[in-house]
Amino acid sequence: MDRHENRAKFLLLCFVALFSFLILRLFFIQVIRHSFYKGLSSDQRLRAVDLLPDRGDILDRNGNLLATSVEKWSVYVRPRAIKDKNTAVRRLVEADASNEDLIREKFASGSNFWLRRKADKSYADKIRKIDISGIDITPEKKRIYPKGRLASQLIGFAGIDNEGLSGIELALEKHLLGRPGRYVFEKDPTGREIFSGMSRQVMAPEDGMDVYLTIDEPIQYFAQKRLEDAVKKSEAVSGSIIVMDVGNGDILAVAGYPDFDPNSYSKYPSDHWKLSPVTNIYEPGSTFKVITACSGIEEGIIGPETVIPCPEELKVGGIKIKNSHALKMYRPFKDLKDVIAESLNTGTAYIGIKLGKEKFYSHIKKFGFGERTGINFPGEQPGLLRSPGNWHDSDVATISFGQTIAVTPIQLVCAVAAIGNNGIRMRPRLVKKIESADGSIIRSDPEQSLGQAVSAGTAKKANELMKGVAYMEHGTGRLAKIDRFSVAVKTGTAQKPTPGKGYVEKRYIASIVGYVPSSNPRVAVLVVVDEPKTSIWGASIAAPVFSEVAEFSLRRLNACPDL
Amino acid sequence: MNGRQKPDYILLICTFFLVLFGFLMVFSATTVESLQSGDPTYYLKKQLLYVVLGFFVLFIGYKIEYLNYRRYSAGLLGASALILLMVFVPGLGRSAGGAARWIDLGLFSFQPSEVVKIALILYLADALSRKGEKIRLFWSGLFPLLCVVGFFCALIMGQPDLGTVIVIFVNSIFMMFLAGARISHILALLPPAVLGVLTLSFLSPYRWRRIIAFIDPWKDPLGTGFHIIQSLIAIGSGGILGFGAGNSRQKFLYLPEQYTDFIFSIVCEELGFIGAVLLIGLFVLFIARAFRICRFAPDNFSRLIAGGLAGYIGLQAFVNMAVATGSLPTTGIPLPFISYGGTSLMITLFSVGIMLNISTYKRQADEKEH
Repeated sequence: MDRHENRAKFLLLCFVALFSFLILRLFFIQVIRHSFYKGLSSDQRLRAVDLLPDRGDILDRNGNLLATSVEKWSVYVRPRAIKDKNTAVRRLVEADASNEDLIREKFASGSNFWLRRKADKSYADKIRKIDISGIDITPEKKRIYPKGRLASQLIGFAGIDNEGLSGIELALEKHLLGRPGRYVFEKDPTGREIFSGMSRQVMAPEDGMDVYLTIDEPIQYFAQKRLEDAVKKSEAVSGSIIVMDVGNGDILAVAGYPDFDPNSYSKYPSDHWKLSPVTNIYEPGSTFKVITACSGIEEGIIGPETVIPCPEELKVGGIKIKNSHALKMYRPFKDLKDVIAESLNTGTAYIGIKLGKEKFYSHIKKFGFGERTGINFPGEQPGLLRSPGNWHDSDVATISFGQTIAVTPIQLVCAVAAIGNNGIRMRPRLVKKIESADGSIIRSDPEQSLGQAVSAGTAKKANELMKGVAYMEHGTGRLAKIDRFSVAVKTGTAQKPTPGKGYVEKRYIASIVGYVPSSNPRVAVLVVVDEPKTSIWGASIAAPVFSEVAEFSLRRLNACPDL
Repeated sequence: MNGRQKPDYILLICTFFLVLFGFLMVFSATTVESLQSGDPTYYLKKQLLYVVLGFFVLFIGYKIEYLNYRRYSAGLLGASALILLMVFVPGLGRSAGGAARWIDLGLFSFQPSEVVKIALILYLADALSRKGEKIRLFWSGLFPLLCVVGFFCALIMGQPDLGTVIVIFVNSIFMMFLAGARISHILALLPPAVLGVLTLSFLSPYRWRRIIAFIDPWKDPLGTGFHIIQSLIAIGSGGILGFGAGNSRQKFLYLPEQYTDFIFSIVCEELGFIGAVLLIGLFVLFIARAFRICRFAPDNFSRLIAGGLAGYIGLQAFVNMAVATGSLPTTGIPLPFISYGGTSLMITLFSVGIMLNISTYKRQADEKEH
């Protein structure tokens, strides 16, 4: 019996030893290695999510809302987390029959998916009634553009995650976006928040800033509408329009046509998204003659009354220069006023030849051609201006009437506005100010002079030449005239070069550029109509648009009539 | 009746606290599962039913005079062998986790191997006490009993359930040791037993993976090592004081089987080192009392029953906690009194009942002295 009792004691001792070992083991894991395991536990459990800030609004110069964000609902489905998959599929299809294929496919593969992003409240309510864990409804901000196509190419648009993808939305993403906040919570392996967990906001989100553009909603609307009408009426391919404040460079309206509705941008071809007045280059044609004239006057080669030989045909550098239209009253010599008013190619070619490559080039540069204007818009083009060393001998002639040089509409309107601004070229401005969510102004672009394009005296003489285009008997811009305001313009009818084929008949760009009122210029306006079919002439297609838009702008700005 | 005394109340109180501890831990560990099933008290209600039934069974075990088992032990063992075979009958047997360990009786299912454990203890106690000093002989003493044990081990191995086989085998050896078998015989059994376990492990890919995972869980932390690592994270992150009752994080789907075989990890996480040591202390006290009953048992038969039951509860508790702490390869042994599950709790409480019954008899040797 004693032996047996000892054996029982021995077994008990064995157990005590085993359990003592367990306690040692626990001490090692729980006390010595505690921080290691605690770290592992936190690592797999804690998750940080960004708290998204509200994206800033985009407004016009007077605070009219152009882009803002509204609350919508998104539905996310996690098939693996759903127990009764058949019921879930049936009820989801009942609620959203249009997505039946998607639902069935995703449930079959078991991968998580967005059933719908940014849907209306009524849709969210329908899904909410299903009430199955694994179908999540989350509020999301959706970017909307209440004015639709108004200034759409300028404003641009934001993508599904509210990231700026084009236009001002892209250019000022940094300011519009804001700074995301952070929220840390404990999650289970499927990613759901643990109900008994501790969670806290680590950092508050900082909302994006509001951007005030320089455009004026009514002028923008009117300009866009007139451009659209002109393009449609003339059966043209496209068009561009710019209205700019001559004194400070503010862009009051800028648009291309065809345009698009940023609320459904994906339904439009991507070239409709581009702000063609800034991103497209074209050969300016006769509108460029103003620049040639200014260069000639600045160099003292000619004055408004200088008589210039204007043959019907001129040979330069091996090519033939002709006037684009038969002169009503042919005279071999004309003064500069007539050359500009009647837009004579041979006459301006004479000025170009007299200037020579180097001098001509330096004046063109001073007007800002061949480089970006500094408007700070994504995709702005510098245009095509070769350095004089690469000029063909004939280029002094062809460039004088706007061929073999390519410009952007914004470059041309800035150059012509400089003539109306005593020769001082202003940087074009798109953004008036940027305001933080609490109302303090973060940035306001000052008006900025880009230097003297021509002397004030030359500008004054050029002003007379441009007035002549509208008011002289044979002036090409007579349709640009406005009641009670004097206008200074230059029309253009440029043949379109086609890659590999040179200039093709019947493909023209009709355009006009100028400013009003000529005595005290307030706004510069440029109208370009690409490939009109009913008429090719800038004078008949673009000039009426100029007249209407310029007049509307003047009245909107309460300008003083000078006639 | 002559030589009766009051039952061992300390064992009963100890049991009561262990069951209460388990009940509360099951409540905490099942909250996540319960919420998913829709009824937050689903597991709680079932476990409460098991506890009530368990104490009823304990009472029955207490009331049955232990000598009755002498007559029926062989029959009981035979019956349990039949039940064990029923697992393999289609329609009755239920599989879970790749093992056929349950019998489905409609309302509830139970694990026949749990019944086998107790039947084998009763049988061995009877057989060993009858052998008396003959147990010191190998071929006529120990060997036939080893054959019986081996037969049952083979049956359970068919489920397959190596963990239970090992517990049953080791406990049977304990009983033979208690009965007075030669130490040399027992030591001689060790090499073939270890070899057998290793062979079985090597032959089965999942068992081999478990052993690899046991040796280095970090080799495949998201695969084979996942279970051990999640258990260690639960235990380790608990620290000294734990997250507090009900505040386990690992129970949120990180740790599998968090309310059955790995409930000890949740205990460590919620109650910390202090709580875990308290629980181990309760077990040690329980086992010490059980061995005390063994030592003061009235006769050899009851002594071996008490020792066998003490050994089997102690072994299961140790293996379970050792697995949770990564000290042994993963195997499906429940923690007595604590893990969720009806069969285990009822068999354990029935065992306590038997021990209580034995504790009411005074030792015959003491009688003589008076």
